[in-house]
Amino acid sequence: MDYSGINAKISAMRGNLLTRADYESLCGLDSVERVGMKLREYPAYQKFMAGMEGAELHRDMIEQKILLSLSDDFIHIYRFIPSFNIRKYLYAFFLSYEINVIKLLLCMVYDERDIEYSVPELNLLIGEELHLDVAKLKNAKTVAEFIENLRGTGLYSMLSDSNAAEGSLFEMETQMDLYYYMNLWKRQKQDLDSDNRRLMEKIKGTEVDLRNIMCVCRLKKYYRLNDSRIYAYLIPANHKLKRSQLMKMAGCADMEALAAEIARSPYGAAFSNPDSSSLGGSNLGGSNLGGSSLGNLEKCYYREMMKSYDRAAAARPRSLAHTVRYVFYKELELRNLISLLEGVRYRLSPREIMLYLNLPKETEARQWSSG
Amino acid sequence: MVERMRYINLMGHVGDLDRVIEKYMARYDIQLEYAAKELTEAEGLTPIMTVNPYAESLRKGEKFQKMAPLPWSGKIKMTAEEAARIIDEAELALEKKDAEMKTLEARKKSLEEYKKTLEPFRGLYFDMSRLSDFHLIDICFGKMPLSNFKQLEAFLYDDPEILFVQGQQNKEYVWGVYATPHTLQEKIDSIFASLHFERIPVDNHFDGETVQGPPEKALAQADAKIEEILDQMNCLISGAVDGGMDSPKLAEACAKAREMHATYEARKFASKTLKDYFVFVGWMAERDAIALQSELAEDDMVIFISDDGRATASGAPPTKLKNPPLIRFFEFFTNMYGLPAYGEIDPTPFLAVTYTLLFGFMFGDLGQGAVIAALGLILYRAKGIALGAVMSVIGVASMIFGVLYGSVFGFEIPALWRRPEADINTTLFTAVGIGVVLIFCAMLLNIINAIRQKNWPKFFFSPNGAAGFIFYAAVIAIVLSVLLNHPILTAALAIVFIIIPLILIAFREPLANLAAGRRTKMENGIALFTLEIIIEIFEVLLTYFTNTVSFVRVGAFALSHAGMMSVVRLMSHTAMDNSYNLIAMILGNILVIAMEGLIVGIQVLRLEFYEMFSRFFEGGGRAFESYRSRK
Repeated sequence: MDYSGINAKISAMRGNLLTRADYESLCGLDSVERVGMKLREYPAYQKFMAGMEGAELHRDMIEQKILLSLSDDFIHIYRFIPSFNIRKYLYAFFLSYEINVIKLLLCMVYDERDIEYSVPELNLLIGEELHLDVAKLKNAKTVAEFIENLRGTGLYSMLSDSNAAEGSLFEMETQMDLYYYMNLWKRQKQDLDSDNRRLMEKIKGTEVDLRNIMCVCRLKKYYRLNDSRIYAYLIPANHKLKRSQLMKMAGCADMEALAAEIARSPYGAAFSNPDSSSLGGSNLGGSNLGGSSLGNLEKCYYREMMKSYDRAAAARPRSLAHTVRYVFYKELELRNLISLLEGVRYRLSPREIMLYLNLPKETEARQWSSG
Repeated sequence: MVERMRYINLMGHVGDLDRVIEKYMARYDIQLEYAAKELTEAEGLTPIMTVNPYAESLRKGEKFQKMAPLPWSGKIKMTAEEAARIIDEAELALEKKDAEMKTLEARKKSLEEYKKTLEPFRGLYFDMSRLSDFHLIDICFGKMPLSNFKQLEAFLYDDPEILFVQGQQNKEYVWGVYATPHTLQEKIDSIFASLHFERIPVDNHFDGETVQGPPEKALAQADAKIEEILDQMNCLISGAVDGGMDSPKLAEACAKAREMHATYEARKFASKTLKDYFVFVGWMAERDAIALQSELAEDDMVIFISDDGRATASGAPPTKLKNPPLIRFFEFFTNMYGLPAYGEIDPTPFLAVTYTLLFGFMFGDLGQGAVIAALGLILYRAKGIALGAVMSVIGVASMIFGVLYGSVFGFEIPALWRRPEADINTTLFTAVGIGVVLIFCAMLLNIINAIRQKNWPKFFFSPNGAAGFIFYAAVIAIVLSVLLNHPILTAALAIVFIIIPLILIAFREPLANLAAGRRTKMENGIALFTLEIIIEIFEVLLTYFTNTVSFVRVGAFALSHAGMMSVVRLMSHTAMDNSYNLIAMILGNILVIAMEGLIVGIQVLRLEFYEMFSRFFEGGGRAFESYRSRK
């Protein structure tokens, strides 16, 4: 496949990502509503927020609307890929974002809130490949009903059981992630040529390793899980982290031992805490591992993933690397915006808000290495 | 022949209705019309509404028909009461069997359920009866999603406390069994629960039996049981209709019920007058009407009136064809074209004779004709296909012409008349000659139709009427005199006979209007009118010419048949010993019979419909439909 077309398209789309200056000006605004008004001026969000005024511009609504921008980008990318197999793989790759939307919808059903997306918006968010009747999904009033509407997708068999068993939201989300990675690994083997496969195995393998480590940390810290039940929440795949190492981490008795074990693993450096000083003593939600020497987990994760994507894009310009990196950065931007909205809502200072954001190096100035 | 119809009125007291239906009407073919619609001038007519007393018997009978075919083609001898009794008895017997059937169904269903649960564990080998003997170990059967199984595989397979044996798997689930010591049960159970392991109860009891041995054996036994139950069910089904009852009797009873039901449907057509009299109106064949009238003459409870029914609301009388046996088969073709209107000549006899003749002429072979005749007879006898009967008739014609041409399966025998290929021109001219005669016949039929319908413009001015006839005769006379070199008509006379009819044909519309006392409107001016007439005349002339020449094909097919058979002869001939290869001969004959038989059959039909029917036959009749045969 020829990548010049898609890479040119990606370069053009990158121009629409927010820069550091953009973030800074957004941080300086004094209300969520004004952030919403400002966001409407950026081309990536204009399309989806144009009709919203005043009271509509509350946090929930903006958070939901900006997600549409990612799906819209993906459809544009999809059209630029001529190879049928790569399209299939990209769909599996993008499924995690669709699953995120389904998780969000599921949360709304759980909280007995109405789903605010319109049917065309849902159709954009949840692509055709899942073969879902989104109108039915939107109208579901109970969790059981919601899951019943997923019948026919691979998600159904995973959720129908967990729902029957205990049915905690966390449980269901884990099952969906599990489905995503199993499906992705299968597609990776089936649909990709050797170059792209090696590349994606590296990137997604790193992602799985990091997520597994984070998962073990959280389960131990918040659920005090110390036995084999941990394994039910881990993804059965790996890249650099050996299975035995992960099992050792799962078997650790306390957080200190775990921190030591992580430091011994190939990801020791990733989870060491170089900018803990800059974060000062502020307690970031729940992501910080308290007294241990481990840094902010989320931040470490994104930093490591950025590195991984950047390395891949530099090493293999004639591959999917640029494409998947763009999707990742777009996702990052959405997360940053959500953190930013939260910061503005709780009236943090612009400097504090900026600390919570994960900014790629490139956003400092628009200097994208292009392949 | 189109049968003559009578329009009948049948009246009597309402209390007498059923007797009249049963005693008289049930035995005659009558096309009933809705009295309320027909008798538009009468006042105070109301429809008679009652429940058909045979509806119930018919419903039951049809239920039996659905379970097993109960054909009845013979004459029905049993009375209505007897039929109803037989059907009721059969129904009772069936109900009894029905209960047994339901128990069997339930047993089968539970066995199938059991099989479904056990099937995924088929490959595992253990004695099922001894599962409950363990005291220190718990054993759990179940399934888990495939990706959770992957987790188990990745992280827990090496755990000494966990023993999992995998059964079958599909795209979504893995089935299996795990064992735990009592002491660790709680922990292991919670691990498997977190892996979304769903328990499936497995036991060795089913359908009142206990199995000892592996699942394989239990499944085999369940299969055998299902087989057994299916056998029993089959027995019940066949027994309910065949063994349990006298099935020919039941068939007859069902047929009787159907007949009685149809008979009573007649009430729908009747109307009630103000003084509680019922009225039937409808059409009957004249013969039937006379017979019914003489029968009713002795019954002073019923009033019967019949007339020719010219002034009725339902329009022209329906058409019922009546032809002698051999000709009747050709009604098939007539129906294809359209039913003759009442009063029109039934073209079937003409078609039967010409079709047979032309087919024989075009496809004359003693042996092949015999094959076609035999094949047709088999088709007609075995399947009752009307076309089969037609095939036998034309097959015989082919045999006769085979003798005249001297041809048996393509081999030459002394010809009684002449070989078609001997003198090609004569064959072709003969064919055209036959055509000319047939066209004259068709015109004559048209003229007769015109007289019957009292349609005088058609009689005089139509291209197929008297004018056309005279014109065509004159042209033929001139052609003949040229061919024979012997003047038949004087030139002057011939021109008179040609020009005058042509003018009549050309101006037939204005002339018809003149005769009827109407004025002819020339909406588009005189020039266009003239142009129209010229084109029309041209077309009429062309039609005469093409229709005549069209008959050349009759000769051409006779020739092509001879030609094709000579090819077959040539190909099967062995030069060495001057003999014929039997297989090649048979294959060649089959090919010629199938191909040429079909083509000739279609070509003759084409000649009939285009060159002849179009000259005299209008169709547009409505079929006579006895209320007894109506659904």
